[in-house]
Amino acid sequence: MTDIIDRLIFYFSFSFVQYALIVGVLIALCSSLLGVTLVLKRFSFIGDGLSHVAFGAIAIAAAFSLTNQFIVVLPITVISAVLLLRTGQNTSIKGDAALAMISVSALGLGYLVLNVFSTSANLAGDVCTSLFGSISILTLSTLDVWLSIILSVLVIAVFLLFYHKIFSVTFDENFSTATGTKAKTYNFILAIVIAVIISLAINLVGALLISALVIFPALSAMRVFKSFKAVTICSVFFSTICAALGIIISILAGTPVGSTIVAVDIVGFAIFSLIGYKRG
Amino acid sequence: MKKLFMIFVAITLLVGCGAQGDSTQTPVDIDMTQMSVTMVSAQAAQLELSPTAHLGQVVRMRGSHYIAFWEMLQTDLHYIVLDLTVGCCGSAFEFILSDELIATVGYPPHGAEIEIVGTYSYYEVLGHTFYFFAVTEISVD
Repeated sequence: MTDIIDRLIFYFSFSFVQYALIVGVLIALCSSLLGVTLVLKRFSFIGDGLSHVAFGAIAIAAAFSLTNQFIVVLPITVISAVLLLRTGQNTSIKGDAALAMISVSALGLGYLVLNVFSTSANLAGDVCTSLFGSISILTLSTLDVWLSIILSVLVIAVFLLFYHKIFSVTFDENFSTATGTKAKTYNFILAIVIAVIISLAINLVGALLISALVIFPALSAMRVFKSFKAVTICSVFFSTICAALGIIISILAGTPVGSTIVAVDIVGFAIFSLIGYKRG
Repeated sequence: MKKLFMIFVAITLLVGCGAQGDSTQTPVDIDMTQMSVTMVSAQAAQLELSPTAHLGQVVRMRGSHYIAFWEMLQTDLHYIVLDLTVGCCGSAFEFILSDELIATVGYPPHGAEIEIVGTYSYYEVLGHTFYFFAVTEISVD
């Protein structure tokens, strides 16, 4: 045990490990806040689709050798999120089909762009870390860290500020529209916030594993608690603890960060399911 | 006179001890041989992504020796390929042995498992900056 603590003290003497824990916990917090809404609105898979779009955007940023990929990833993901919600409502291509189409298109084109235009010497490593988040959270620059902190604070502020409206739109969109709530506006705000979270979360768990950050905390909390508020608070604690544990285990055991966090989420889900079952 | 002689002896011993210590066990800033696979990958990425921030740091690392021939300059380049990295996040760094090491032990054969201690440095060729480790200690398994 002393050896583990000594190793942790040694690892945490590196600034990039401190940054990883701070940003990782913030991303987990943000994704769990919106996770409950997404699961209840049956939008669980939107995170997956948007994360593929974000991967495509990363490929474009890499092709242009941009040092800060956020400049490209964030606007493209936001536009795609808004388009996905609009497409799902108004056009002949319905929600799930549109999502699948955008998702695979972005993933395929992203990999194609990376292969054709990327100047990186380690293409396999870039793809691996973008898709599975092997070590990307441990390679953040100071600018990435500040950007993540500012965006996370904004996401939390938006959630707290519009908590009642989000609650209303989540459970009954028609009723909230009838009572004067501008449901379309709040859906638009939700789409932007989701896109911001996806752009941040791609650094933590990679494009293919983002959905785990969105759905596991919400589903785990729903096993034990029943009210929207209790589920949201519980999922925040669940997500942040799992992310912190995942990061610590991965640096101690030498495992990829993203998949370790997902593994911890799965164990957490199993424990919460057991607690829920015992409670009846 | 005797006092002056004693001071001279003391200084000589101190300098002598310092020189001996430097040649056998260089103090390192980053010891990658004591890190987990994830940390080795992350530290290697840090060195590659922000090389200027690490210039002058003394690093110890373990890996296999890879020799590449640079035709334009008609010279061999020596790399240490880090074996212990996460999945496909492989990393390699160029290293150059000190004149003393070249004279005494020389470069190990291609593919040999090596451990090096070197200072992160750079050189410029054909308008490009190349980062490498100026190695003061090398051991071959």
